[in-house]
Amino acid sequence: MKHFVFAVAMSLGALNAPSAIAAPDAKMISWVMETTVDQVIIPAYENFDQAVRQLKQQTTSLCQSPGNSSLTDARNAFSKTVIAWGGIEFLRSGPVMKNNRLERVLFYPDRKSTGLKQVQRVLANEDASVTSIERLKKKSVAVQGLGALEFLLFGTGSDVLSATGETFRCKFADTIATNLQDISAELLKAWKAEDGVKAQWKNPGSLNSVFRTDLEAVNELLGTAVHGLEAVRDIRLGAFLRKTPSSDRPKSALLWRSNNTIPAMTANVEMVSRLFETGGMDKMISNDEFGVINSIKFELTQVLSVLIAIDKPINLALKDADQRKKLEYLKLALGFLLKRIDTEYANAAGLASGFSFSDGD
Amino acid sequence: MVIKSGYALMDRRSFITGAGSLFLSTLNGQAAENLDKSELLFASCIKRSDGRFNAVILNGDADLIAEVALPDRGHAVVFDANSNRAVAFARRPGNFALVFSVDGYEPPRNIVAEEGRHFYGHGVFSPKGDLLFASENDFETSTGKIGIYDATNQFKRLGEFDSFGIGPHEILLLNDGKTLAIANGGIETHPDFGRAKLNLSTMKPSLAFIDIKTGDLIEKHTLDLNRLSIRHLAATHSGGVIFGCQFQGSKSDTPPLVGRCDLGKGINLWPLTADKSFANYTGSLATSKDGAHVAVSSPKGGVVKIFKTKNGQAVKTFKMAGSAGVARIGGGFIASSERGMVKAIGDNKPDRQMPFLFDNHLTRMVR
Repeated sequence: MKHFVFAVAMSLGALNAPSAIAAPDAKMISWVMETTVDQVIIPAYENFDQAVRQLKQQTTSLCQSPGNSSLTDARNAFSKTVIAWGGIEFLRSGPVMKNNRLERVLFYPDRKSTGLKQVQRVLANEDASVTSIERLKKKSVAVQGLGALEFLLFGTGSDVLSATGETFRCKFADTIATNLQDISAELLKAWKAEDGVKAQWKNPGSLNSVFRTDLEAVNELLGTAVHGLEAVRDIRLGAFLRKTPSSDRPKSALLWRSNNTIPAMTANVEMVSRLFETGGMDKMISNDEFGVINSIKFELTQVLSVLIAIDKPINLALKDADQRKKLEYLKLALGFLLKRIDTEYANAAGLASGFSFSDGD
Repeated sequence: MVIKSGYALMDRRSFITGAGSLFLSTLNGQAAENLDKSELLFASCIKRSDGRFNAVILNGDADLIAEVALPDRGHAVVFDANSNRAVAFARRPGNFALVFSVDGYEPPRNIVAEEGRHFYGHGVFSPKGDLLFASENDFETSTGKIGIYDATNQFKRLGEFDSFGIGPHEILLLNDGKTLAIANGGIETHPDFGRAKLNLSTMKPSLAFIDIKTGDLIEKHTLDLNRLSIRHLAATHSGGVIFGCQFQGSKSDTPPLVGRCDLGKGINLWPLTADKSFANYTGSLATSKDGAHVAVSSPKGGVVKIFKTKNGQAVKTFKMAGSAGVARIGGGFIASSERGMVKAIGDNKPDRQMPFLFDNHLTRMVR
């Protein structure tokens, strides 16, 4: 009988078997984890904490002394806060994964504009529960954080904040700032505790409830970089940059009202850069004969350069042929960078099948 | 074939034949002989070192029997003994399902997901092999669907059932042959956002049982932990299912990941499966020949664990880096790994290194 559709490899020896898996250097991994915690993660949470404290001061000041100047100060503090958050938001590990803290700081993606609808409903009804911090914490995550605060400070009707004091809108904004301050304090406390998250990160081992092996620790770092960059490309950029200009969706861009779409993405990529250059991921490959690290650094530079070059607000950038080309190139460049980290770096760091392959579903 | 009026009979897109998406060559003599003499085969989606994604057929000794090219990364393979055909489903959020004849007599046929739908990587044939059910996503409304395809007529899509949840993943028929168990993982995805999980703070996983003739909901069960995504299933001999979960919460939490659900008796997570060796992620499940044990893989934890199906008591743990598929063979199990290993569990056969990487599942095919 003729079997006509299959190709069959009869001589397995003739095929290329996967190359031997290099065991990561345990001492180096331990050093990278420690350096990442001390010089990347905790400083990033401290930076966020400083930003939210400033934000809280400014929203309180705005409510007490409304005016153009105080509104501008509050808006500036908001922008600094979202950029600070961008510097740590793709770390999906530790206390941020508890009590919905991640989503309470920034609820996104929000494909159905749930946050906007809920905030508008709260404003229309002047739902007093959102001006009580205890009650706000129990409300939908979509009205507790930066997304809601952006609409209050920059969205339709925000001018009222500069004209009248102690408005419901301002109290709502001030309560959100309090909420962010509380969440930030919780995050920082958990990360700084000597016997808490820090210890888990620094000491992978069989008794560690988070990282039982060095490889799991490597996976965590890789996951932060890979999932973060995927999110920047697929969720942030993909939300508004469509296949054709006519199908672009500028209002689906995160933080478009405050013109923070690109700055927040830049902060996201800079965090990945810090993982490599400050945290020491660039030193984890002992024998980089193929120049993987240099390739990653080159691609990171490319991505950051194009982000800086996109200097118009998203709605205008999408209409500007040159700026739109840069956005398209950004998508490509993020893909190149992802491939380098997901496969080449992961292989070199001891993950034979690459990083994403483990997430089969 | 039973098609009730409840089906939405829509005009479905025509199939794309497999030309260009497979290796067209003659099955050589040794492989053809191996194929012809093997009643028991295993199928899996794989990745080659050059980046190609294929489906492979192995015999019980892990000899490579055949290989079929896939358009992109596949996930699980389902088999119909009546027609000797298998279907490799695209990994979420892919839109292909490649039907191929196990003996290679027919060219593969590609089922393209309905517009507005994508596959979730799993499916199951009806007992007579006349219908193919597939877990799908209606991504504009974020509702889970079970696509229904006519296996007797070029796999034309006949309609769909509600999965009664978000993100249906593995589906299987209970041993009554008429009840479909659906693991609604609870995670919302949309092709516009790649593989991003869009609703982790509000996800509501569930395990639903529906009547395959009417699509009516028979029972639906939920867990207290909303971030415990029910993903994979194995049928018990007594008409229930063992289910495996993936936890989407904090890594420092270690909830139970495996449990059992029997119709009319409720759902129970097995406390003893709150085991950090799973790294909060279970892969495939398979029950043993006598139904007394279930094997559970964990690619992230690097283990295959065996539990008693009656109470979830752990029996044995096998270390296996990147463990992926599990299936029963003889009185034990066979397991594959994403590093290309094949391990006979409960047998003295040496592990075997294959020249490719296995995806999550290994499908037992008895002809």
